[in-house]
Amino acid sequence: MSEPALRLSGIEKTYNRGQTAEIRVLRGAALTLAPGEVTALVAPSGAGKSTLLHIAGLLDVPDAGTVEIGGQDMTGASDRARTRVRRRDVGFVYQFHHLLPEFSALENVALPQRAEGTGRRAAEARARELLDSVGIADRAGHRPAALSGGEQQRVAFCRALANAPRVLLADEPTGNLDPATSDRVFAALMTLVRETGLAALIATHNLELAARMDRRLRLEEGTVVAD
Amino acid sequence: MNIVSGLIMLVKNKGRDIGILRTMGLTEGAVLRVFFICGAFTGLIGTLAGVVLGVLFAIYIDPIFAAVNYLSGGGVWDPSLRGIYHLPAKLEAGDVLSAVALSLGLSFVVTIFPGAARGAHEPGGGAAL
Repeated sequence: MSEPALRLSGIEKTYNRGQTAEIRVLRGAALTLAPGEVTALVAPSGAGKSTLLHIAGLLDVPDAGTVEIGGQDMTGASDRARTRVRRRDVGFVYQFHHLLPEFSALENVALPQRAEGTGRRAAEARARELLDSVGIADRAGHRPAALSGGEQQRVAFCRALANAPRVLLADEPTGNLDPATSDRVFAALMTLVRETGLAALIATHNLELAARMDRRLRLEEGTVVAD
Repeated sequence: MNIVSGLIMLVKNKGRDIGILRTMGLTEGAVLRVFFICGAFTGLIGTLAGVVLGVLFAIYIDPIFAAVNYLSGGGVWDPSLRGIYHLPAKLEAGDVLSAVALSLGLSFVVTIFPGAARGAHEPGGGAAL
């Protein structure tokens, strides 16, 4: 069996530790994602989905437990090392597109590649290819404000995949879209994931959407359980 | 100080974007460089404008004085009241260079603080994700 793209073990996270308002969000959460696998993470609001995704994506540090990306244990890694792995191996998509408003769709997709040291021409060629694969190559020159919600989210997917990461983490990626657009965006996401063979963890409230993924996990009482 | 206040406003306005850049994998140093370039550019433009205006004023102080006096109907500078009959303005290369060095040096130094404050910010929180 190939090496897991992402492995979380024994993840603990408590906010406001030692205070009366202490919230123990994650209690030994664990999961493993294999390359090419699309996994749904289903949980009600406030269950700790975003915290788990932030920890998995090296945006937050757990109180205990280990995060391995591509077999590399990131426990105790420096901010610089975490930033490098985040840039190369992790792609994020959120409920709101979070595109940079002053940049065109093409520039937004090229940006993570430029941060990785790719030349402008090569970065823009890859960006154009990705935008083409989700059917919005003709919108490459438009700024986010001139794009529809579905187009913005597709650009966000392309940006997340720009550096060909091992892991895609998505937090309610279609939560802000109407059902028809949500369907189109989800189909575009699945096409991209299948083409690239990365591992995707997609947090969603939408059970119908979750049913279309390879595997479903639930976050209950701070732990991850198979659905 | 205007560079500092301008940069602090820029940092506040761009907080979300900075979070996005950090999430994308830009290092603290890369974010700091963006603010440094922005602040240093402002300082450079300000210094250049200041040097040009200052030199022009120093060279043409008498005609400028006369023009202001003419436009305001005279009496802007009444020598009988102050006992100073001539406004001394002598252009010295050393003065210009030290003023340029001080201005650029200060603008570069003050640029670092707001940028560093933001560059060190945790990526996830900054993006309010």
